[in-house]
Amino acid sequence: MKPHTIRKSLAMFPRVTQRFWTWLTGLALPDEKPRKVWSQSNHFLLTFSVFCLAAAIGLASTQNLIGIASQSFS
Amino acid sequence: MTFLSILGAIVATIALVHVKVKISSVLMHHATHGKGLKNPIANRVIAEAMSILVLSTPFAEYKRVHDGHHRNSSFASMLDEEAYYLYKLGFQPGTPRSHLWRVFWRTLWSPRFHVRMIMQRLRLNFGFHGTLWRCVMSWGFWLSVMASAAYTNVLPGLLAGVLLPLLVGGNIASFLELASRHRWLVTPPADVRRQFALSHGRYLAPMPPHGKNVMVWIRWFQLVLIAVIARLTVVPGDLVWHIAHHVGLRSAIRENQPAWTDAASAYSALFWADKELKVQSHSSILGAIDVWFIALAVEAPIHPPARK
Repeated sequence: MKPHTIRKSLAMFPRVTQRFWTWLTGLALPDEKPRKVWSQSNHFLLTFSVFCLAAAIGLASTQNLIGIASQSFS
Repeated sequence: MTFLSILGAIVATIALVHVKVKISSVLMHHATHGKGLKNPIANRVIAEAMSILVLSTPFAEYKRVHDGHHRNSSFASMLDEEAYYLYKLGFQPGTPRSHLWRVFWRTLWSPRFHVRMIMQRLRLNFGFHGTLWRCVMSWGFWLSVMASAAYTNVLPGLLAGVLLPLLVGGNIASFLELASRHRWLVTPPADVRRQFALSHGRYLAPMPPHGKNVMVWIRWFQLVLIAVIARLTVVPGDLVWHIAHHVGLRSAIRENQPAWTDAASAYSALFWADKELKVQSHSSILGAIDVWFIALAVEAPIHPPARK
């Protein structure tokens, strides 16, 4: 099945979900209003923020799991 | 608490792999094309800093390899370093499709592949491969992170929760991205522009089912979840539209706006009107790779050129 056929069929879902399908497929529907385009610096800033947040969550979660594992072994 | 920690580790792993591929294949890519920040010095500095965060290829090395990749004469051929790298991994013309799939799955989980990739990434970041200031930045950043983690007794958490996803997860996602990006080492039809003929559009989505069978819808939601993870980790940003990057005929559109920052808005109108783009588009990563393997299997075997 080709992506454009799938994207057209995803138009059956509520209008509010269409932005999500556009992001997932990378294909905007022909009648979809273009959103405000992000600047390049916003992309850099967002990526850096996601890195910091993900690193903090990953570190805290894994450290906690290591603590739980070492407690159950001792 | 254990459930939350497992969930946190999974979410963080996906996010870190996303950041790794977004930096190494989207931000660095456009920065080396001069389409990152407008100021060239700021563009270079921010690109180097981002690549240090995820232990990715330095700017100068990336630009050297990527400029070679864009040359129409060498694009996706043995003279293209990325294609040559895949050749060395075992993706060789004239190999049966079933064998190519075996090589593919073996590569994904091969300790040898991961050790080599990790050593290469560490060498590029901590050896002198580019400028002195980048090397100093790299050592400074990672030494201070390691020292802080050791001082606060969270070094195991840093290694397993941050570095492991960035290195091993990043290797897997980058390999999937590379393998599904072009039809490497394949001879294109003579009448089609080489870079377009050997590129894929990767627009991920499962076809929604008809009817009201709950189990069918649950299965479909699982496929959507897999597509979301693949979109985040393998083809983040404008990588779904990488084919447009190689379509020289439409370059006027690219020059008029920073299209990579919202490729769907910039290129979708073109897509709906273009039959060829539709033919060369796929709705899954493995589907795109399979199309490459089918073409690669019927190619005549080639021998690598002598390299230093």
